Amino acid sequence: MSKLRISIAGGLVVAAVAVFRAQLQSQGEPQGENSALLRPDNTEQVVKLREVSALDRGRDRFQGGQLCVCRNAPFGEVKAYPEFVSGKPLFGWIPFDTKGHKPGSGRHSYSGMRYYFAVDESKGTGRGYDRLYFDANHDMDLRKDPVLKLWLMVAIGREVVNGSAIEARSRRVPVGDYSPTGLQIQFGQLRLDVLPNRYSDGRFRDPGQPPRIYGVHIRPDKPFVLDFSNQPEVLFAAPARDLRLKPGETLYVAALLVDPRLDVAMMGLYDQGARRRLDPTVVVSRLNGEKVAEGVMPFG
Amino acid sequence: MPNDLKISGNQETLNVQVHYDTLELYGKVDATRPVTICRQ
Repeated sequence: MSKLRISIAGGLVVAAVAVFRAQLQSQGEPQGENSALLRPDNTEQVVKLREVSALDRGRDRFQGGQLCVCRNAPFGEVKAYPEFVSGKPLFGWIPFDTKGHKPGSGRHSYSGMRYYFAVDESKGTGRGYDRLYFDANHDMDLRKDPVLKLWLMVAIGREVVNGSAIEARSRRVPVGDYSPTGLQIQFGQLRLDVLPNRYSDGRFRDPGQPPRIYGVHIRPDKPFVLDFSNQPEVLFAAPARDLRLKPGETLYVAALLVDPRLDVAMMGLYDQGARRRLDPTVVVSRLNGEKVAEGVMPFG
Repeated sequence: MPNDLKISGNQETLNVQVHYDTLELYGKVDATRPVTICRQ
């Protein structure tokens, strides 16, 4: 019924697990723990990695992530690394704040726990770094952690201005399977935002988890059509199933309009012709149809 | 729920209906979820 040729102002994320801020530093020779960042002459070297297109435009929201240290020699404090396919694997660590911020002492007062990782080229030397070994359990043994694939973030639009992509009617995108992090779509009079569905069965998903479905499939020399002909569903985040209330208690209603096949939520519906928001309405009624309460969502 | 809500019997089931107007995309979309109002 409704098929839209893709019209995008937003970003797409390729199938993956972890985002790197790809401002990587390297060292040619193995170093001691305290000299991991610098060569003996106190100079730094930048690794030539190209998967940085969304991150090298300056300080905008695509540059989110965490600065990490990377070099081409293993770190002595790591007990064991896995066997690599590449002859030139990368070795690094990234600090994470595991204790939260100390009030009044700055943003990074506790950001000191190192998590070590290694990046491999699963197809062989020189074929591209695409496999991440990350010491998630912090036991200094990278052989025991699940293998991760790297995220690639792609910004779609004419250009990025103040952290937002300006819309474009068409754009060439690297081949791959994507999940939208945010699309704004115009369809006739309707304008809407398409976002990942963050709920599952009424529960909020872990935002750190990868998308469940990669509904955007870019293939060589074929235009992609974002297909909205699937039957939409309304997913209730609240009230919970089998909720029981007493008179005087608050009934909270929150729902999402979702495309279960694309695993996206449609929000911010706006009628451009009438210039009005199309907020979903809520009606609470008895089984005989008598209205008890009504309003717009979020309700309650 | 209103404090003065009168319910029939010890409990009554109410329907919570959410209504979306998506214009020409999907048209009007409705969904209903029952909730139970009880005296105790």
